[in-house]
Amino acid sequence: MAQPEKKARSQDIKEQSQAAVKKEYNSDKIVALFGKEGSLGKSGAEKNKGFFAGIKERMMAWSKKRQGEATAKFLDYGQNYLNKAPGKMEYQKDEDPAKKVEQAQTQASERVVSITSSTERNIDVLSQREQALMEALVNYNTAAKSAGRPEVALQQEKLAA
Amino acid sequence: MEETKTQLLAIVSNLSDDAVKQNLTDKINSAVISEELIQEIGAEVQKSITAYEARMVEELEQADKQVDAVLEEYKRSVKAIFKDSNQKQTQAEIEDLRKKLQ
Repeated sequence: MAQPEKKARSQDIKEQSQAAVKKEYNSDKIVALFGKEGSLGKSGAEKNKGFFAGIKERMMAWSKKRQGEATAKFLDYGQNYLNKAPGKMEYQKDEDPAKKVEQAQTQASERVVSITSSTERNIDVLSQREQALMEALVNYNTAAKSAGRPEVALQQEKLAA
Repeated sequence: MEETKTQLLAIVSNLSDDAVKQNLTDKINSAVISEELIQEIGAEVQKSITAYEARMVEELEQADKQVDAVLEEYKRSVKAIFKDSNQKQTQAEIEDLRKKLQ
């Protein structure tokens, strides 16, 4: 769909939503409870986007940091063992301990990457679902506000904090 | 009415609890949208946001424990490769091992 058509379609949907809400909520008794008047609309949606991006970024940063720390520990630990070796350690002559340690490092690192990658994917899915929920909420609130209905800000207060 | 129902269904479809999601979907589809129903949806939205965030934190905590377990297992593996002994390796062998691991 071309950009002007998208814009027209979006405007059409917005107007239909507003009309529907206006028609339905024609009594002050029925108050939409998802947002406070004046705190909704585009700025609210943008706040949500920033809020969720912030959570996700912090979690992803933790995951990367943990992965880096683990890899560094693997290397340090293997090296420390070798440093202690003179006079204290032995290994079978037919084995190659350096190769074995290297294999253990590789396997451990791969497992950490697998764990952190899986965690990142799961957090991404949860974050997207939460964001989709908030976007649906903002769409509803925007239509309700445009229809002249004041609303109570439950989530918006949290997002602004 | 239909448009508002559609908007409410969009909200409900993103709730975290499948049973609640189904229950509210049925109510929206079968009943007039009442103040009580809207309040119920709002309460569930708040619960879902809390649940999503708790699950993300839980994901991180579980990953943290799993990474710790991998580290411990790795240490055991390295210990198993080398055995404590009074028998000395030659310095040349030790240097060779260091080079291979760097």
